[in-house]
Amino acid sequence: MTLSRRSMLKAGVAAAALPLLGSRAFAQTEPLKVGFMLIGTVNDNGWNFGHATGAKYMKDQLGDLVAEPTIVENVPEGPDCERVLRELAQSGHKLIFATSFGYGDYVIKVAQQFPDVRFEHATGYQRSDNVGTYNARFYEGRAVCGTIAGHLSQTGKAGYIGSFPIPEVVMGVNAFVLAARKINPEFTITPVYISTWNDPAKEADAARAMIDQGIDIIAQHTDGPAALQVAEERGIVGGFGQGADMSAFAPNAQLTSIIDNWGPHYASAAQAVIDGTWVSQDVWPGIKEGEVEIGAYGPKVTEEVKAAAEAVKNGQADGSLHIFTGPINDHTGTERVAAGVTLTDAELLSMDWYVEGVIPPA
Amino acid sequence: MLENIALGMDSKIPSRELEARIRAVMNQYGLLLDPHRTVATLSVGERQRIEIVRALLLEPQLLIMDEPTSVLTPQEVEQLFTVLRKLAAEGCSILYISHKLHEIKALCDTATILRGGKLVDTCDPKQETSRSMAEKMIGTGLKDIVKAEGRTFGPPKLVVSQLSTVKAGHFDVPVDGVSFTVRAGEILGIAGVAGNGQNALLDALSGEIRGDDREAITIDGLGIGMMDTTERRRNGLCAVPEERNGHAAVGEFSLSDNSVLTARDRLGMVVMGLINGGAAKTYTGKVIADFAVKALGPGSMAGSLSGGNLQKYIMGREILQKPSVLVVSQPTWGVDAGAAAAIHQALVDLAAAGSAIVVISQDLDELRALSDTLAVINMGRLSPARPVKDVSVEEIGLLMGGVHGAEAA
Amino acid sequence: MMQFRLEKRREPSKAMLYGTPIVAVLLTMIVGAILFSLIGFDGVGAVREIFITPFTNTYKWQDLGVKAAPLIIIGVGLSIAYRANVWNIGAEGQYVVGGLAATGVALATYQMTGWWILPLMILAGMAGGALYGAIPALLRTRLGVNEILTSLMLTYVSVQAIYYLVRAPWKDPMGMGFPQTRRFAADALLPNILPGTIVHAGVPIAIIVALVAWFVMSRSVFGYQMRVVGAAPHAARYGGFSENRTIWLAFLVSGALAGLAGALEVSGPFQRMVPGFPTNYGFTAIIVAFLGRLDPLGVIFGGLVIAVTFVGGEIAQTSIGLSNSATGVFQAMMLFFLLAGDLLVRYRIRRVTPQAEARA
Repeated sequence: MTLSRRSMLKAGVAAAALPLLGSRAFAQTEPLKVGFMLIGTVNDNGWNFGHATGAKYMKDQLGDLVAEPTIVENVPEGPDCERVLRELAQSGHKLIFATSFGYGDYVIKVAQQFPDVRFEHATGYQRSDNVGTYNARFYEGRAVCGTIAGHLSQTGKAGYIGSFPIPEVVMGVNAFVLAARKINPEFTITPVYISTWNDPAKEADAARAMIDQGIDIIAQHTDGPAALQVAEERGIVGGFGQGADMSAFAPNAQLTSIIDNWGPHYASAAQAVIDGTWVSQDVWPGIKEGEVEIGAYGPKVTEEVKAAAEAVKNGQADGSLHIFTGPINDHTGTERVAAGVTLTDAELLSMDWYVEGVIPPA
Repeated sequence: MLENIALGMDSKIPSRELEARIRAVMNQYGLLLDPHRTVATLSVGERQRIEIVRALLLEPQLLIMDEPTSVLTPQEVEQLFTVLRKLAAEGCSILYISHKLHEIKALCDTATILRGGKLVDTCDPKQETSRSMAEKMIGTGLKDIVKAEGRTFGPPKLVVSQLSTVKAGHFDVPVDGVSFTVRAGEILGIAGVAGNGQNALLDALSGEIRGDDREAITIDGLGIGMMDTTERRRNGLCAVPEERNGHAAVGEFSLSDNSVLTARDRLGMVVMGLINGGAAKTYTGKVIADFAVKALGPGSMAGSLSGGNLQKYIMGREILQKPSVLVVSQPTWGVDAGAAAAIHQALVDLAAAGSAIVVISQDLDELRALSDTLAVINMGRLSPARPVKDVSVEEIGLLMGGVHGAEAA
Repeated sequence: MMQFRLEKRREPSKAMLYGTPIVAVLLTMIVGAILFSLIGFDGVGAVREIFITPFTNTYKWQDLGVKAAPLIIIGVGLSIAYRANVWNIGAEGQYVVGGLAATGVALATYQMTGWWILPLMILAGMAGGALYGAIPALLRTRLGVNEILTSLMLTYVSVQAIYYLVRAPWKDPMGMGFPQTRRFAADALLPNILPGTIVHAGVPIAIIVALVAWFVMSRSVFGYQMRVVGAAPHAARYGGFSENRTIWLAFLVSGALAGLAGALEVSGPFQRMVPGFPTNYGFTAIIVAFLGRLDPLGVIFGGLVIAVTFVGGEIAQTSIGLSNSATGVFQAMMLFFLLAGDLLVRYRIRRVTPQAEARA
């Protein structure tokens, strides 16, 4: 597990301040109220479903120590979310998870007004005394998917449906194609950005357009199974579940899925608040910690390919394989990472360039 | 024509049989038309004949006619009466609803007079005079229009030269080279069957249709042919269109707001872009009082007034602005006799005060009582204006029928 | 047996005109409570949290004000246009363009300070909204194109403009590649007028706009023109009012007001331009305008009522776990009851007994 130096420092300072915190610590006589702010609905079978599942896990693990988690759905990024955050803070929630990047500004703002409430912002980068950030190393999952794609794709072309060209998404695109190219050096991937995290119609349209251009593997970084359903319908080689196992929607097409497993983190964060040991930090676990899980393999994945995928998965788990280890060129052919050098977390979190093999959007 | 009649029949009759029956009826009653003519090409009087033929085809025992002659020339009225008398002689009962008392006198055997929805009297029109029946209708003594004898007219106030409009839409009748002069103190009546360009003429005079010839219309020498309605009002020309609700007045607005519609500029109701509600209310109150408008006050909604009262208000609104030229269309259409008399007197008084007035109407009696000079509009063209005493009803009738119209059967 | 008949009133009932919005809200509360209880939720609690708590919880008043302000500003503009029968459905697009215009000024003056920056942004927003509204006006008056279609479709164009601008020329260099502009500098932010709250200057501006609009609509020639063109276009022509000019004015005014709301929102609650900027205020404002009976003062009421359902809906989610879709159901119910209540404005219900029928 790698913590950036900055967060190490913060953790140290926070640790030093622990005794102070501890003495002021709230006597947890009543169950901890935990709030979750979601950008979509729990029924999206993807991102938000994953968080809701994690919330349930936390409740199951901690039992009476926490109240039934409060889940607020469909909160748009903007002033509305500020209102919801305040509402949660004012109504006695002491730990609040804001589960989308765009909430960041508002989390910081509201956190200032409620210093005794802890906030955690998923996939964000802004922190303060009572605001921490957490993420999952989705790119590790993408590497596994890319490996499968490299083996199974017949055209050597994949498509990637993303929301916005933010580092998290770019990272995923890059990891995917880097892994695929280890199998097929000519492999290409075409990202398409639909400017929203969840819009089944747009996702489906993008998928169809890609398939018409000869793409036979589709990955998506959006919240629902729409693209997979199109993949199943058109009978291409396949796609990958995102955030949850989507095989129910595409039994043949889903080759595997990246499952967001937020539960353990939620449980530990809540426990930390209860024990008074919570600190603001940047938490970025991956496959090793069980935060990112690889789902069951679909029927098209042969034993040989499964073995390759497992190898990549385990390699990342035990630290022997890091997909962003050089030599890596960007899509113009210029070398960006020297041989043997691994990109740091900070460099990953600000990644705004595509590796070779990515056909960048116009 | 054949298709229209077929539409109105209760049962489906094959075309050839229907045509044969139509021709039989037309021969029997002396109504001559070609069943294959397109209705749009027929005059209004001819169209009415279609209605009659359709009714006759059904071999009625009771025929009800509601104001049938407002769209007919005098000759056509005579023809209609011939048909009706024939029908009555064959045993059909006819209920003839009209406000034209001389027609009732000429045609009817008994007359029933209604006022305010209640039955007032049943009488024998052959015994009554038009005047006595009119008095029963309005319930009070009928005042004659008081016109001073031996009036002279001033210099020409309104001069219209070769005024024309562009045809607007498939069935529109445009104004075609109309010229006339109205002197100060003079009332010019323009007679004509409906649908001969009266609306276009009024719009061209009021300014709703703006021309491209400035001198086509002049008031006291000033060319106003290209001005819009507001500017024309400023220069002394007020107009009253035929349609009360929706054109001359806004049904949903109060009377006070309706005064703002036309009087705001002439009577200074607008100050720096803001409307002076008090001034509008005062003026409206004056109109209501002077013209005996039965309304709850300046705040009542125009749409809640009866037709006659609304017309009185509208006429009052324009007349009390003391325009130097007033153009009105159908000033007493659908208005009860008492209100009609009041409106007529107001027009005469306005002329006596020096204004030039143009009255466009389908009601010949009204025009002959009101006008000093008379002209006839037909297919957008105007006959030369002649003093009203010098023109006979027959002549007017022929001019109204024009080239287009009735065959003197 | 009792029968009822609808009888048209002579004059539209004034009492009903102002009463039906209130009745609609009350009916929504009653029917909503019953409906939700029947399907297994805490119906009374839902209604309480959605409609009552936003008022009893003083914390929430600021939220009501902040949420209602843009709805009122846009709603006032739409009420003026709709009175003249000019159907501006693209207020959302004009709102977006107003926000973009203000953003442009903010980014151009990023390094500068001065009291003039914020007013300039607001003026730019109004100009942007007005110009964007001029497009459907032009198409309608010159080419007879239905303004409902053009104004609506232009909305989508404006949203795409946001996506492009925040991704390329206006992207925040310090934003880790995320599609957003910089956070505005201090002089480009809308000030709070009540320290310690989130009530920004946009809230009193909204009230002022509504009051000014009410005055203009009822007292000025411009207001008269809008009303008469909508009520009787032929009479309007007779009275000297040009239909084309009215269409232009309606779009320019409602576009400018929508743009004003956009400028206030981007410099107040948002403080930067993001892809999530369009939040359907322009469409919700249509409901607000009708809820307020197309009268600027009524629009204040309408804006508050809609704001209550939004704010209350969130309270209900956090406190009793009511689903997010419930808010939408309540809003729809309210609009439905309002439209149904419109019947009572024009018609009276008469009880008819058989004897009366026989006599008639």
